[in-house]
Amino acid sequence: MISFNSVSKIYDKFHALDDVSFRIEEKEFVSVVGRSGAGKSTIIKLLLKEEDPSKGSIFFKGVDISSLKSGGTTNYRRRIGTVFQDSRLLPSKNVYENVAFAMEAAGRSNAEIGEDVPQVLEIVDLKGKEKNFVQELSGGEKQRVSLARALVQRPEVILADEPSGNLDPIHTWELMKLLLRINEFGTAIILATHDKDIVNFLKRRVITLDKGKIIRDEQKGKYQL
Amino acid sequence: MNNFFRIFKHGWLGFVRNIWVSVATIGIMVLALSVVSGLLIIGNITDTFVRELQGKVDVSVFFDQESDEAKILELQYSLEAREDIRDVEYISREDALSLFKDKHKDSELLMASLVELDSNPFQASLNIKAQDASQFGSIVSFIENSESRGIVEKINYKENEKVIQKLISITSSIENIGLVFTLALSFVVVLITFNTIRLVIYTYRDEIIVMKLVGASDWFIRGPFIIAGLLYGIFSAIITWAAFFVLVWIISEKTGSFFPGTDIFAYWSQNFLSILALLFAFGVGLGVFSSFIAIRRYLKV
Repeated sequence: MISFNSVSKIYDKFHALDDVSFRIEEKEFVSVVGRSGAGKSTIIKLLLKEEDPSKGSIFFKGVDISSLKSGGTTNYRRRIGTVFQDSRLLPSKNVYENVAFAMEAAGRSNAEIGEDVPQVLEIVDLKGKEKNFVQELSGGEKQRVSLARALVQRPEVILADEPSGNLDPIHTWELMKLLLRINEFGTAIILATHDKDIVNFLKRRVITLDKGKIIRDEQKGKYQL
Repeated sequence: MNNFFRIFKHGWLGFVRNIWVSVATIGIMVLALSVVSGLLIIGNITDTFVRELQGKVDVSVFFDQESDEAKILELQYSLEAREDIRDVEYISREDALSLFKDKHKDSELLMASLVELDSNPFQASLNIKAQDASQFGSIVSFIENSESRGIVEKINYKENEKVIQKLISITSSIENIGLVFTLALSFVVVLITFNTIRLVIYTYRDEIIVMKLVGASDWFIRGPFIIAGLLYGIFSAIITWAAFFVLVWIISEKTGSFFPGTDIFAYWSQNFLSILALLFAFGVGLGVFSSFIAIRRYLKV
């Protein structure tokens, strides 16, 4: 589904990623681990097309995403969901509106939105919080809204960039359980994290980065640096 | 259509939910539009003042004592037919005498002098006012080349020419300075409004980027900000117009006594639709345009 072919990302002379190649299949759950600055977030940014690779190419279902123009990029982003470390919710909108925004932006009908948003909020255990604004939510709740927003588009893959970075252990585990549940339903998950306990608990594929290079890529891997 | 309603809804909600940002933005735009309104009033005062000043300038044509009144009236009619003429007043010899007596009735010496004279010493004259002081030259030239030139004894234009030219120069300078002042301040108004809205959009830059990353199109993101710009413009235009309505009502009498002939309240009331339209055009146009331009850089993600 996703393939990185000899991808490098260079900022001035700094190699955030250096000749990285890997493939991710549908329904896979992949943890991308490494120290701070190893290149985890860079992979997420490249997949989100927030940045373009300096060298190499990235394919999503056979399409080179760096060749996408504005309209194509917009459509591509609707096929992937993203959970950011700092949730990145829209502060002037309540929980319902934040989640619905993703569907409105995709041009979905009011009927579809009316049906899907409550369902997704129930999945992430935020039923009853629809009218709350971002400022009224805890860190864990914000991340669950972010996950709901990612999920409501029925994406083929969810990118989670250090989603538990600002959370306490209890909320972290809750979030991970949600991601696992979503993965069971068929959505691929790419989780960038430096949380050793989570990675070791998940026992899924682990891609380990160090100084922009892949040093290990193991099925049912462990956090090893 | 669905998208349009959604864009309008997001724009309206954004305007209302960030009410203090909206109020501050409208406040600054009201100040900027107040400059526009002030320029309109100053322009009206200046125009009226210049017109009054020019209205005081006239040229008198004096005729021979034996002139046939019919010929004088014929000249008057031909002058009145000209487009550059504002008014032509015929003062007969009898009227001139009567005016003199009226003006100097308290002067025993002058009254006694008149009694000494056997006949009416005054000449018939035409008092000519032009549309514009700069047109007197061609009017005088017309008279000097007309069939009536034989009965004309004197035209006082030559004696007053320097004063008239000075007046033309002064009024022209006033108009030019006014134009430069208007253009400069209008530019400042545009800058202030644009930068105000640019600052507002700057505060939303992170949100705009997130909207792009979740798959919103440029127009879906831009639309609500343009709606907000439109709302800023509408509210600021209405508030400015209303505030100035009250202001001119209060100061109209004072400005009228300082600049005779001016009535800024009458000007504001009689032209309220066109003034409101101008303020709307400025406010809404600037609000929408500024929003459109300011958001572009954040859509490049």
